[in-house]
Amino acid sequence: MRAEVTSALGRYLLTVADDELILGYRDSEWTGIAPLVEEDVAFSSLAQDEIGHARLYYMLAADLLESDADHLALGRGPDDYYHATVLETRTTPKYDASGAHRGGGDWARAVARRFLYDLFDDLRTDALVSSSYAPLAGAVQKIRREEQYHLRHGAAWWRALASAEGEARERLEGALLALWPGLLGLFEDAPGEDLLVAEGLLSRRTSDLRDAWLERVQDHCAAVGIRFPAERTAAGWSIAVSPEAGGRQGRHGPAWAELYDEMTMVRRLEPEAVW
Amino acid sequence: MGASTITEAEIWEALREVPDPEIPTINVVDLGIIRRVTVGDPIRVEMMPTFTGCPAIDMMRQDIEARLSAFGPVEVVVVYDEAWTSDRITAAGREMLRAADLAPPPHGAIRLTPVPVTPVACPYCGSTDTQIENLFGPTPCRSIFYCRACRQPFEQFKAV
Repeated sequence: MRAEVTSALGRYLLTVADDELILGYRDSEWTGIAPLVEEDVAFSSLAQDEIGHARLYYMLAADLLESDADHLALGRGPDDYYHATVLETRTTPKYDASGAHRGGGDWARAVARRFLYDLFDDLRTDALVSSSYAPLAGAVQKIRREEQYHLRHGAAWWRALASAEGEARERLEGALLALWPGLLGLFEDAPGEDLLVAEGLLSRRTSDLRDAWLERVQDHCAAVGIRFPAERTAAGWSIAVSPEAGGRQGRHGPAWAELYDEMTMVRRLEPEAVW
Repeated sequence: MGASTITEAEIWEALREVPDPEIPTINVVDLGIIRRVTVGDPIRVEMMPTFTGCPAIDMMRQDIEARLSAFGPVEVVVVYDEAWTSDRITAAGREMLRAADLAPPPHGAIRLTPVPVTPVACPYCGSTDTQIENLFGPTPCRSIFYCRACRQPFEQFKAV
């Protein structure tokens, strides 16, 4: 592989790994406080899977970038993480040592973000499964098998919240609208994706996955009678809001500073510790 | 014992004595996670994880190294370029899962449906009058079911 291709693929894999790590980290915050004990188990498992996938992508990136997975996961500066900003926000109530854990928690938002991200990730891994870089293609086949369970779980909760009367459905509708610009930010390309497509390392750019995702989300909204926040016209999709971009370039929101500080705390205190 | 006197069969036999740390009734060979053994210096063992996020991977690697160290230097390589699937569990391995009160996974690739298509038999009473309680369980590789016949919750090793 030519040097510029190697570095573009490494950079792209960091984007994917960062998405998985950050969503995994945020979803793990539901452990112990999910609305049902079965969801304590499920969300912990989902988070563990995503962090496992992140580890695998970091290992692949480390080979290409001559680094190591632990450093890539926890040793970079805050501006060198490339996850989409929608994944970095907290969906749980913030822990308060005084015992007053009030405000901010929204299970419907956690469910909607996870499911709609998984629909995106399914399209993204599909674009990697026949990559000409064999270690990546093999890893993605493995990841896709595990993700079938995530999609099944997400679809069941999407239906459950939407078909409930009252607050659950309102919260799901509200979550979809609140997350919408951020979700569109998932489709921002990493630098060098054109090159990766030309070299057969990736079958479609991240931005080329958007229309297929919109169709899927529209179908899931239609199936449960939730208003879908975009319209298909003869000229293509009409979307009223601007995507919340920047994450893929290392630009993040206020939630990231807090998360980065917490997530890298042990590494900074004890750089030789292994996970 | 020198490397020249060891056979590959002996290594496989020794690996059958290495239990899964979470499900000690099954060994790493019958679980299907050993892809290849190469006798040499060092002895090379290729291991395929069941789930990428499985926290037992490092422990299994250490257990394999410890068991084989009597034969000489050992290198355990965790491989991800080919997917482990639950169809790699041997027929004997499926019985070993039952011995741990785990329902073995159904054969064949999983399909994206809201509920599993194949009825899952309860490992306690054998009834297929069971329902899924949770796609996820106490480890990444298990789901939780409930048996309506004997009113017992049980776990299934996931199909993947």
